Amino acid sequence: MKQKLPQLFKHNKSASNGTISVSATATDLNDNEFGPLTSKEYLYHCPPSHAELDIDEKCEPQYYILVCTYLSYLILIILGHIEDFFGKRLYPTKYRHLTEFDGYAPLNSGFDNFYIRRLKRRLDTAFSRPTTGVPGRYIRVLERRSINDNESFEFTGETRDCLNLSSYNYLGFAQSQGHCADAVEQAIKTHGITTSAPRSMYGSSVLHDETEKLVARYFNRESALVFSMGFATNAALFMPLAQKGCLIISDELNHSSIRFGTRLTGAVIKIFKHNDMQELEAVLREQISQGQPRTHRPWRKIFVAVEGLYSMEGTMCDLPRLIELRRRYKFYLFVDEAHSVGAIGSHSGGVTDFFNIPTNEIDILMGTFTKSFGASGGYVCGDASLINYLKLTNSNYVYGEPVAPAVLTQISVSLKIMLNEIAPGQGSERLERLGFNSRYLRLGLRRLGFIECGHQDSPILPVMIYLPSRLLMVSKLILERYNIAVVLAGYPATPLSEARVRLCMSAALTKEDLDYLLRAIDKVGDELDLKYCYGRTPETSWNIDNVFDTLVEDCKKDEFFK
Amino acid sequence: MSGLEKINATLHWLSGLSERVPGAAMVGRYIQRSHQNDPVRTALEIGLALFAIRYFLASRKAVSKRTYVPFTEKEVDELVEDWYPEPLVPESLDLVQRMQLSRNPILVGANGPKTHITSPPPLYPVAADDASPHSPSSPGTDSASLVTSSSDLSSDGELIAPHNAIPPHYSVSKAFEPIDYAAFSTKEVVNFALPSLYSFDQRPEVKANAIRITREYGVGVCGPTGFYGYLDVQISLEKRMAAFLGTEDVVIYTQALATATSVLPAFCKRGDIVVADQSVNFAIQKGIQISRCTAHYFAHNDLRDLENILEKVYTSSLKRKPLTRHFLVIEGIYDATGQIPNVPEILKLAKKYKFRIILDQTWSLGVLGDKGKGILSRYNIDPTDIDITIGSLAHSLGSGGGFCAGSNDVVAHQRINSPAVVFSAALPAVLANSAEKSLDLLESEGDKLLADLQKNIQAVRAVLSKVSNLIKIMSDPDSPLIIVQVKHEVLISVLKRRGPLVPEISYDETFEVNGLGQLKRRVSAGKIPLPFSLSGKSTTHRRRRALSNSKVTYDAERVILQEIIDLCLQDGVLLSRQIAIESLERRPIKPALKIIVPQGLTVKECEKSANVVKSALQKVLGKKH
Repeated sequence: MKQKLPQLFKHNKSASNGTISVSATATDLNDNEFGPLTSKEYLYHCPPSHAELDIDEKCEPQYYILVCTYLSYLILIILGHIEDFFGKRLYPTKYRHLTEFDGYAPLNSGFDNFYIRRLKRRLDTAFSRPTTGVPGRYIRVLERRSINDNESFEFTGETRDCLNLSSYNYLGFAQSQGHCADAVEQAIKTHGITTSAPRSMYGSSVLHDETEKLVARYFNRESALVFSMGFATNAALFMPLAQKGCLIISDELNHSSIRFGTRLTGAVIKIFKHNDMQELEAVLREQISQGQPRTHRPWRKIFVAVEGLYSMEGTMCDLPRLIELRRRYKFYLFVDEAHSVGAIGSHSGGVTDFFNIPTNEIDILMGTFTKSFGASGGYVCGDASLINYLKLTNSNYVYGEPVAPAVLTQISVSLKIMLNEIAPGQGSERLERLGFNSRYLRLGLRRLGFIECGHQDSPILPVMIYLPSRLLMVSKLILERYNIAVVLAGYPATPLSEARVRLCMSAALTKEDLDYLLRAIDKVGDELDLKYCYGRTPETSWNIDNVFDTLVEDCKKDEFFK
Repeated sequence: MSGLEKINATLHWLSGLSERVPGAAMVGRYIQRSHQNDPVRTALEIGLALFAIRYFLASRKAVSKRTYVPFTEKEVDELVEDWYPEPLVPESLDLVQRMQLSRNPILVGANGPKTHITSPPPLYPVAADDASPHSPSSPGTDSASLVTSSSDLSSDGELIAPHNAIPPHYSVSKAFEPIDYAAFSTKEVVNFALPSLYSFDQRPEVKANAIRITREYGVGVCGPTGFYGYLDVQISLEKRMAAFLGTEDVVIYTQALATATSVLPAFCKRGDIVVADQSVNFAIQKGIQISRCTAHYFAHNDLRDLENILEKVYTSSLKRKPLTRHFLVIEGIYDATGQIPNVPEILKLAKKYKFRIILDQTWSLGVLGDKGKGILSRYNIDPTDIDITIGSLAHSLGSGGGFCAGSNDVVAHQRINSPAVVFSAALPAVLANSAEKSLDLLESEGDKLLADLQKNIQAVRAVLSKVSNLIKIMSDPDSPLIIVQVKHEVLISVLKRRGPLVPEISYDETFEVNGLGQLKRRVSAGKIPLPFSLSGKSTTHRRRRALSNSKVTYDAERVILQEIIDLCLQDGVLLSRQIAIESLERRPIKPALKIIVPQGLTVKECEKSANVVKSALQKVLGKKH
C-alpha cells in the first residue's frame, strides 16, 4: 500500500521531495492516508470560548448569473420534454417503468422521475464515482466510461489517485494503519465480525458497554447509546419521544434523517427559517399561546431540532441564543452533531465545546461517528432516564442489528486519541491541523474571489457555482486535469439555483496540498469564470501569485473573516 | 379630456420615459397593444397585476383565521410563563420495564452457539463521576419514588424492585430479583438467541479476510454512495448477491432495519395502496406509515382474507384513472410468528389483481430453498416474478446491513430516491466483504449447513412438543425461529394460583370474564401512584387509561416467561422472548418465548438444551409447584 503518487507531486512544487515531518503522530503512518505535518506554523487552536455566533455575510453573485441559472434550467427542461416526446414514441421499451403496462400502474411517476432522467443524468458522471481503498488524504477513484449517455457505466480498469476533498474525514481517522487499525484487527480476532443479535436480545457485548461509557464521558453526560447507522439513529429517535399532542420545530435545512424521524411521529411539525432565531421565537410564542390546532389544548411537549453544523451550508447553529430561548420557553432541545462533533470546538467536542456551553443544556445530543472518527453509526447522549427509556423503546436498540466490533473499536480508539488517552498529543494535533486547514483554504478562496459560505471554523467549505453546466465542468476539470476529488451538491440537497461544489476539509491534508488545491481551483475559476466576487473589494481581488504571501498568518486572525 | 384619452396620454408619457431604459420599449409596446383602447381590459389587467403582487408578498404561513385567538404580547408572556411541558420521558419505569432492562446480559467475547455472558451495566450511574462537574438533574427526578436511590442499590448497583414498592400481599416474582450474570462469564451457555445461524462471522477465514480488508480500506467509508463512498467491495457484493438471488441488480443498505423503512416510501406515495399481512415486522410498518399511502392489512397468513381485500381494492381502483400503484407486502418467515406464507398462491392472487409484491426475506434468506436462496427457491418461483425483495446481511449471513433486490429499474430508482441510500454513509467495507464471503460459504457448504440446521430444529421441536399441553408452537416446522406461546388456559391457571405478579397495573375486564374478578379488587387497592409531572398534576390517570387490556394481561405473561428464561439460564441455556416496543407497534404483540436454533450445535446438544427449556416450562407452568 505504501506507494507514492508521482503524477500528483509533479504539479505540486512545494511538496516535491523531502517533506519533513514534525508531527506527533507515529512515523509508520502511510503518507497517502495521512499527510505529515510540515511545520508547526500550520496549526490553529480554536479559542475555548465564543460568546455568540459570528454571522458571516455571504457575497452575492451578479444578477446575470442568477438569470442564466434559471435560463439554463429552463432550457434543460424544454430539451428534456422534447427528448421525452420523441423517446416515448421511438423507444417505448425505455419508458416501460413510466407507463401503464398490463393493468399495472407505472412503478415511478414520470413527473417525479423527470428531474432524475433528464437533468441529473447529465451530471451522472460526477456522482457515485466508485472508489477503492482508504478515503484518506488521497482517494483512489476507479475510472469508468459510458457509451449510452450515462445510462450505464463500464470500468476501464484504470484507477486515478486524487487529492481527497470529498470524504467526511475531518480528523483524518480514515486510516488502515496506526492505533485504530491495530486495535480493530485485535477486535476482529476476538469478537468476530458481528455480535449478531439485536441489543435487546443479548446482542450487546462488553465492547458496546465500554464504548457507550466512553461516549458518555466524552460528552460529559450520564449515559449514551451507540447505533449501527447514523441515518437510522435520527429516523428512530423521535418515535418514542414525541407523540400526538407534541410539537416539533425544525430548522428548514435540517438533514433528511431528522425530517424522516419527525415524520414518523404523531407530532405536529413546524419549520423555521435557517438559523433565524427571531422566527423561531415567534413560532414558539405563537404555538405556546395558541396551543394545539383547533382544540387549543396546551402542547404536551415542544421539541426544537437543529444541527450543530449544516452539511450543505457549513453554517453553525446559534447555540447560545438557543439555550437562552430554551430557558425561557422550556422546550426540549435536540442537536444533531453529525458534522460538528470532533471537527469543531477547542477540545473537538462539537458545538457545545465551541461555545463553551455545558452539554446538559441540551436535552438530546445526537451525532455520528462517520464524519470525524472514520467509523460508522450514530450515538445519542443524555440523562440516564432518557437512555433507559430508549433502551425499551428505540427500534434500533430493540430490533436493529448492533454496531459491529470493528466499528466499535474504531470509535473508542479514535475517541481516546482525541481525549489524549492514547498517543498523547496526536489528538490535539489532528484538531489543530483541521482548524488551520479549514481557515487557510477558506481565506484563500475568499481572497481569490470565490463565493464560499459557512462559518469560518467550519470544515465544510461550499463554493458557489450556480450554473448547472459549470458544475459538471468544475468536477470534470478538477478531477481529470488536477486529480482532485470534490463533491457536487445540487438540487434536491440545495435549492435549485444554488448548486455548489463542496470541499470537505481534513486533518490528513498538508498545507502544500492546499496550496496545490488553491492553484488548481484558481485556474479552473479563471477558465470557467467562477470568481463571482473578484474585484468587488480589495480583500477579494488577490492574485494567485501573492495570495500565499501572508495567508498562513492572516488565516489565524478573525478580522479577515468579517 | 375623457378618461380614455387621459390613459392614452399617460401611456405615451410612460413610453417616452421607457426609451431611456434598455429593453423597456418592448414592454411599453406590449402594454400599448394589450390596452387596445379598451379601458375595462386595462383596469382588469392592472387589478390582476396588483393581486399577483399582493399574493407574492403575503405571508406564506397565514394561520387559519377562524381558530386563531389574538393575544397581546403581555398575555403571550403570561401563557409562556404558565406552560410546562410533560417530562421528556416517563420519570420512572414500571417493574416489568425494569425487569426487561435488568435481564439483558452482555457478551464477554464473541457471540456464537456457545457463548459467555456477564452482567449488564447498572441502570443508573452508581456514583457521580468526579470528572463530570455538570451533574445533570432535571427537576422532579427526586420525587419519583420508584427510581432506584443509591441506598437501594445492591452489590451490582442494581435493584429491580425496591422492597417498599411492592405491597406485601403480592406474590413477588423471582423475575424481579437481580441475577448474577457474572457467574456465566466463565461458564459457557448454549445460545438459543443467535440470528447468525451459521456463525459465519466467527469463521477464521472470514475473520482473516476482514482483517485484510481493514488493512486495505480502513473502517469507515466516510461518505454516502453518491459522494465517493461507492466502494468496489460494495459493487462486488451487489453483483454477487444479485447472482445468488437471480435478480437483475441489488442495492446495499447500511442497516437491515432501515432497509424496509426506506424502500417502501421510495416506491409507495400518497394515494398508492399497500396490502400487508397484519403481522409484518416493525420496519415494514414504519415504511408504510411514512409513505403516507393507503394501507390495508389482512389476517395473518389468511389467503381468503387476502383475496377479499385484493378483490375489493382491485374493483374500486378500476373506476379510477390514472391507475394507482398497488403493493402486497409479505415476509418469507414472519419475525412475529415464525410462519411461512404460501407464496405460490399469493403470487397467483397478486397477478390476478395486479399487485406488485414486496417480499421481506430477512429470516428466510440462508434458511429456506436450495443453498439458502430463500423462500422463492423453496417454491421454485422465478425470482423475477417478485418485484422487490428486501433482505438482511445481519441475520444468517452474520455481517451487517441490508439489501434490496429487483430489476435494474427498481434498484436504480432506489439509488436516487431511497432516503437511507442517498442520505446515509455507505456500509463499511469490512461488513460488505464479510457478507460476500458468507455468500461464498453458503454456496459451497450450503447443502450440509442447511441439513444440519434442519436436524437441530427438528430435535428442538420434538422435545418441546412433549409439553404441548402447556404451550403452542407458532412457527412453521422449517423455521429456525421458534415462537412458543403459553396456552391461554394454562396462563390463567398460573395467575389464579399465584395472584397478581405485577402490582402497578390493574387487572380489569379481561380477567373478569375469566372469573378472576377478585384479582381486580386486590390489585386496585394496591395500585401505586406514579408521582411526577412538572405541572404538579398526577399523570397516573392518563397512564391508567393508556394501558389497554392486552398490555395488562401481557405484562403478567412477560413476567412468567422471564421466570422460564431465568430458569433455563441457570441450566446454561440462553433464550429470549418476544421483545417489542408496545407503544409503537401497530397491534399488540403476544408475549412468547423466542428460540432461535443455531446450526453450530450438535443434535445432542440441541436435545439437551431443549430439555432444559421443557423442564423450565413444566416447573413454571405445570400444576405442581
